[in-house]
Amino acid sequence: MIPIIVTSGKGGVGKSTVSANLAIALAQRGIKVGLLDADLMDPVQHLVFRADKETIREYGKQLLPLTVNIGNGRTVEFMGIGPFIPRGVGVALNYQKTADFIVTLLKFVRWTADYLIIDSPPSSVDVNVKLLQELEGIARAVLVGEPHVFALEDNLRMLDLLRLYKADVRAMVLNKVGLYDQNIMREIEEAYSKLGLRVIKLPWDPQLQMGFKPELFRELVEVVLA
Amino acid sequence: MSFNIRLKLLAVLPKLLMFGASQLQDVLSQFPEAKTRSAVLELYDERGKVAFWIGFEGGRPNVKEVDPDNPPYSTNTITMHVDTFIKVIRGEIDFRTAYLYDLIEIASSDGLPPAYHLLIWSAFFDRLASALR
Repeated sequence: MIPIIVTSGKGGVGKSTVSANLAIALAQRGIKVGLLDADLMDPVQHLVFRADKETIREYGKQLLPLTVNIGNGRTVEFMGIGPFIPRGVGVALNYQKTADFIVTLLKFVRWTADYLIIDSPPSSVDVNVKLLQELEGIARAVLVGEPHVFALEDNLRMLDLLRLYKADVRAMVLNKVGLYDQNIMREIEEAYSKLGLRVIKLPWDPQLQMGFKPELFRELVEVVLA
Repeated sequence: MSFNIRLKLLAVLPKLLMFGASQLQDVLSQFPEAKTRSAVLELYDERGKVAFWIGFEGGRPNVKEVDPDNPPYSTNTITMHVDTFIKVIRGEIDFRTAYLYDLIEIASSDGLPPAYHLLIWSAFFDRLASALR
């Protein structure tokens, strides 16, 4: 199984949207794909995939991932803590418990997928460090950001962290293109390109907020599979 | 047993022990590994602590009081203040929420992560709270 970390130095830039659509786009190609919601503090994928209020199951000494039907007989394996914790409860996990959840979700779930998309929390917080440590040298990564100066600064730090843990950074997804000034957009794109990143632009599209448009992610699919 | 804790548990202890005999099998039947899993539930207050062993013995589910300083082997230990336990089984706070708020600690003895045990035992505490309400 090849893990693909979808991450960002900044929150609210579309990691969950990119993760969900990438998972669906891969599944539509007949590829066995899993989606792990590693954003322990603010999980949303269970809402996106309508997999809330589920009952935990196990097989042997592994938890069974949920199976989400995406139509045409295709499915995505899904796991996170979102379906199993009450709505509205603040997740006040200390580092030890955070690391424990990450290990549980990564290594004690009976994933059968060929590719595991990991929707990670923003910034270089402890969850991401633990994730990268667990996946050192084996993960592919997709950085997500908006064409915004502050987002660039935060992503430079995240890129450094990804490279520190030998993640294979496949693409920089610039999301919500069209919302920002075109001159800044060009500067940001150039800055990422100079860092050796393949820049993929996603247009600002309100329908992507809670919906799926996997057709917008074809280029990203090619890049992560290559 | 600590006198204070016994007083606090007075209303729920008989039901808790009966629950073990009547419904534990049903609760744990959804987990194929249930018969190899057990827990020591350790409850404390400012003056002392008590412990219960929850699991299967001779193929049958059982809940029994044990020596908190020398408990029998269990695959994990769940520790919380007795007031938290009473709130959990009264349904005033969810078991998972209490864990997230650091009101519950889970220690593992079988190599599985504590979070794994948390998720599995959540179903047990949901049913327990429902049965005792």
